[in-house]
Amino acid sequence: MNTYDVVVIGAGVIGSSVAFHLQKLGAKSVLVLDRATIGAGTTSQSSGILRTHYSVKENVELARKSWAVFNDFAAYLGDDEASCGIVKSGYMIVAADGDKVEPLRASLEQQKSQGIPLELLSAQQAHELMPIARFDDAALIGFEPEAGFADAYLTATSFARAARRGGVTIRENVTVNRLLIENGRVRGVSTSAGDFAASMVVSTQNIWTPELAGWTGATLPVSPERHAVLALECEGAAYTYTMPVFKDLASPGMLYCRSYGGNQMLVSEGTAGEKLDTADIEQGDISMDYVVEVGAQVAERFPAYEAAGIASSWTGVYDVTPDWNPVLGALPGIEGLVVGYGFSGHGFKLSPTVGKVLAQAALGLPTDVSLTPYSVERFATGALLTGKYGVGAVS
Amino acid sequence: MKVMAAVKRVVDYNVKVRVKADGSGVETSNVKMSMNPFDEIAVEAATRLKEGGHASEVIAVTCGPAQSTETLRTALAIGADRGVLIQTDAELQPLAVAKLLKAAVEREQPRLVILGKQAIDDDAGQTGQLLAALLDWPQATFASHIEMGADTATVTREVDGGLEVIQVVLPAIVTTDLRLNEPRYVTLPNIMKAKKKPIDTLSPANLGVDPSPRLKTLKVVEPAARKAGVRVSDVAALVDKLKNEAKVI
Repeated sequence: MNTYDVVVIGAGVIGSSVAFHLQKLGAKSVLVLDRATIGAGTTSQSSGILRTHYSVKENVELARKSWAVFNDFAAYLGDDEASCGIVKSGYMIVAADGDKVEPLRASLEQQKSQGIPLELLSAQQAHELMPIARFDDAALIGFEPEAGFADAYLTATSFARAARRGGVTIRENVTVNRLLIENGRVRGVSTSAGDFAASMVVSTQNIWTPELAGWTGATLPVSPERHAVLALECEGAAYTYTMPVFKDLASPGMLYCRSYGGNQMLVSEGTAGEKLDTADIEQGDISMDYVVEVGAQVAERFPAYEAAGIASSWTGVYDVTPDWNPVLGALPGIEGLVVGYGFSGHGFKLSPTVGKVLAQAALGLPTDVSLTPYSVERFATGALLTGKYGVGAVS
Repeated sequence: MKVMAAVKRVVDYNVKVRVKADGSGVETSNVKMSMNPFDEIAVEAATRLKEGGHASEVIAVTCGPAQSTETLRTALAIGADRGVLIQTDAELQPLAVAKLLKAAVEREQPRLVILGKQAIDDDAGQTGQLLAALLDWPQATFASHIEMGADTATVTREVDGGLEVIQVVLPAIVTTDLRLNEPRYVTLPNIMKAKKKPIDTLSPANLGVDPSPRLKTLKVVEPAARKAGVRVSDVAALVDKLKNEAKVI
């Protein structure tokens, strides 16, 4: 049986980042196993938005540190050819009069106190940055210049390539069947390619985390939720790369939008999606009625989009926890196991830092940020990380 | 003149097709469905004929389960004037579809029927030709250009050797190839308008057609997985393997 210092389960953007950081922090032998191929699961379905806007301050910190990595990606990876596909367009968030104004104000204040460059815009200023939108209902508009979007698949494969260069072994199309546990201590993993011994396992299994719950007997609250994304094209109202990512707290679906391909609008609802019975990343059906429902919300903010064409549509799956925030760190009662799951649709923007702190936790090093708030025990104690906007990936 | 476009609801081209556990077919529940892309080209072609003053009405027809209404709505949003759903949950093979379409043609009396050259689910590529034979109409398949005359259509066909131009006398059947046009995006207002356009629902029994399959599906299986390759140490080893193992040189 081959022996490794650390085995990572899952080569999505989180697992790949963990692997990169493990070797960077000095781990000598690291094995990453993926049921399919690098970044091919939920990572490939990410809308790729990068922002530090959160109502939960711990998330702001993870996102801020991660932005610094995205913004200097090639140097961070020590690979001139590495790219995360970043488009630095900024991030604009708008609330109309109502129950979202005060949470937004508080979140923006919180971000400012954490040192995030941030501006409050008048409707006029917002319109200059985002000429395709109307702002007559806007009660509060925040703008974060250090934000934008990137390519999650490219980021995952870049982390994986850098990890391999650092000596990590990544094996694709290998299914982990169970953890090998003796007396409450992890001894390795049993897989479709045989058993591998390791005294430390990091699980970054996303929507497949219930399998880990089965192997360990631990209670790991998470459920897969499918979300639909539309790409709209509107003549005379192109959503260009210079226009910011946009979050509309005034719309019923708390829409998020970004430029797609430099002229189309990528748009999706930031609220609850369709609950699935099983972990399944397959493309789900998107009804015409749903397209019209989202389109009507888009047209409220972007009047020209009333006549927009549907260029394409697809679905992506989130691993949603009860408070829409991830579980990070060791699981109580099992030695040699670190988990990172439940990113609830906002894991990509956190992936560089999450990869680093999970690697630190796995190697017994102090973590850059405290993982205590992200402990799985919060679901039992009630110390939840629920965001101020209610359910949804803005947290 | 009326133009009819035939459309089919298929598993979306972005879906990784999975075989049902019992081997009876492919999984179609809870996966993304959309209009067969070649049929979108057919609806677009019919719509352009209307916009160009060559057609008075475009009728979209589909055969299948109730959910096929969604596909008709897409056709109506592209530009068809009304829809006909021949509703059945039965397994439909090309001959049955051709018979159902023949019955629909006899009801509607179009002068031109445009179909996709094949559907991306079964890739049979038979329905247009079967329909032409059943109606005893001329056919122009794999069309990449259509020029309408008074009583004729001049059609450029994509054939193995290049392009072939033929003239057919109306009424006629045309099947579409990829290069015929690039279908427009359906727009939000047109989806709304499509909701108000009429859809007639018929059944095979209404039309006096028995859609029972003639072919029996014995088993549906996944293609065999490709085996991993091996690295050879040098050219001599490669030549040896090609000669003695693969037996190709």
